[in-house]
Amino acid sequence: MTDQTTIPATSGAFVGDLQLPLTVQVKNLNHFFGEGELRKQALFDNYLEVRRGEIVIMTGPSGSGKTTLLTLIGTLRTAQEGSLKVLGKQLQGCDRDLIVNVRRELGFIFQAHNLFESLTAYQNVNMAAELAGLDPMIAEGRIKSLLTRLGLGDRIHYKPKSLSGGQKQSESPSHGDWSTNPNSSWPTNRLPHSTKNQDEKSSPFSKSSPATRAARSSWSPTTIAFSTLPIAS
Amino acid sequence: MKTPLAWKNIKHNKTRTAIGVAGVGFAVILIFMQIGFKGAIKKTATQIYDALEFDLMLRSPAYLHLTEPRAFPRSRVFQAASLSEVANARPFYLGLSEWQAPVSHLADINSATIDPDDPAGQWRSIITMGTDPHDPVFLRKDICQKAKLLSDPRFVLIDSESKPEYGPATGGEFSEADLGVETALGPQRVRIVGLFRLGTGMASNGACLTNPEGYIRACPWQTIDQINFGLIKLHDPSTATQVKRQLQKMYGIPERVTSAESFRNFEAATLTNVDVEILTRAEVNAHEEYRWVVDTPLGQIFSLGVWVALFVGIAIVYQVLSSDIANMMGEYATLKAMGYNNRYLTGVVLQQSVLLALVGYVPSLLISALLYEVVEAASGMPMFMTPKIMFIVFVLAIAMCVVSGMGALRKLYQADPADLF
Repeated sequence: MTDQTTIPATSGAFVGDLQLPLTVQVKNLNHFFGEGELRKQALFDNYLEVRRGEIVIMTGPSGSGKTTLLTLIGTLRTAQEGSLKVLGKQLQGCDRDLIVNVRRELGFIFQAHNLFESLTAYQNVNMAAELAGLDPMIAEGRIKSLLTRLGLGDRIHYKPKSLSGGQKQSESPSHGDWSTNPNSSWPTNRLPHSTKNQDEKSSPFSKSSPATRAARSSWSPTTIAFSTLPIAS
Repeated sequence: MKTPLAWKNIKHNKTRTAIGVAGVGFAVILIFMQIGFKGAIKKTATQIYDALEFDLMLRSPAYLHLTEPRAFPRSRVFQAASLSEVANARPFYLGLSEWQAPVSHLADINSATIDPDDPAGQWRSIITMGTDPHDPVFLRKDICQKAKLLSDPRFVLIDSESKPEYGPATGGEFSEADLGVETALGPQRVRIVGLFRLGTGMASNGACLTNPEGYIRACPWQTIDQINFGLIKLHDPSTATQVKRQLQKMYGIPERVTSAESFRNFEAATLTNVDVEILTRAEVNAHEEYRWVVDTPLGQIFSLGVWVALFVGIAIVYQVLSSDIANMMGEYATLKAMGYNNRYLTGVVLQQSVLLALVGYVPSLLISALLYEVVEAASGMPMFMTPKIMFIVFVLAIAMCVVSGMGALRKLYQADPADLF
């Protein structure tokens, strides 16, 4: 983000008098692309604090660094300079195993779905369930109820090719939503991502969008959404 | 049970898998053919020796290779027979002579309709072997049986594996139709009294068998007392090296280390005063293989060919696999982003590589076996699909795919998932 923020952007996230813990903590974060003379800075000294249960929506013009910050928080990119803590773990300069563990705690809704073409909707979601080490019997029930809730009940055994764009997007949040933490129910933390101009109906922030539905259906996830469009109402 | 992602990927995109299988298959066929050619050279080297019955072989120290064996005194064989360990010791004659393709099947030699490609009347060099018809030196019962027909020096058996240029009546290979046909072998007239099937690989295009007197008629520069090989059969083949040492002492051959590996260290100078050398079967085979595989240009070409095929194969498989992995990079990056570690990713890619190798190997094996037949029929090279070749190529196919898969994986290891979508 090119516009510097010195005050941590947070609303607090209180339950009674109790402030919920920080899930994302960004300090002094700089990020560069390219090498040598082509090296270009994309993030300038970014600050951000997000607490459990908050829904954060960030907007900005194309090229302002939204995706860069989101992918950094989502552990899809290696942090270069500054401090980046996700779920209490410092990601800047950490080793590969820690990143792999943090990734398992996160959900990431991809802009381009990124589903496995060779697997059915059920098997796609099951890839995440297997990673979480869920009992197959329990996983089966959860996957079916999740996909049904997302409106894919009758498409459970279809491959992505025969799903519509919206259906694919419904399926993709379920990829990362399997917390291994027994104290929290799933979904836990998700980062819906949309930089494309989308109409109200398919926007991830609309009432009917998968991200909103998934966020409402659980008790306290942290949700960060990014868009180039100002959010209507 | 875990989702078999590798198998699902292979099954899902049939076009991509077909291209992969074709690439791997092509590489595998290349390797099969080159190994087959090299095998043919090796087989050529020992094809005739494999058909002979012996535990120890006597031959001239001036021996060069099968068709240039040189000669030594027959008395050495009789000397060897005096040892109690020796079951029998037999002379064997072998050399190159000239064979005139029979003209007898031509109805009218003056006819204008004579096929210009008909080899009738032309002279070809031929491997000529001489053995005692009462005590043939061959291992195979059918050849020994046929050898009994050689009761007269003017009689010959012709190898039905001989090329059509030797003038079989049918134009294809020698058959029953050629029995009784007369032609010339060297400076003398002979009659074909029978057939045998042996094959000489690339040493010669044809072979015939006669008795010792017949051999001398065909190769008049040799006398009956000058033989090419002495074949010694022992009561107990395990005593071969011990008997060899006894014979060396008997012949006055200086003591020296001679093993299959050290035949190259033979010093000709130490052999000038002796007229015979003694080799075990392993030494004979090793010498002959070395002669054909390393000394001849043909052997070197095919040995090199195996390596070339291997590198070309790796290049093809790498191209196919890396573009396959590049196509799926987004999916692999998603796995990475979800929290699957590099070990899992490696597993998926390697499984996919090995599956591709397996699916590519099976049809290639069948095609190669067919090609072996075609090449053997067309060129007379003894191409054999042995379990050993199948196994070697199988291992190579898997190794090629695994190495290529690992190479293609490097990018996935190092990059951040965000850069791979």
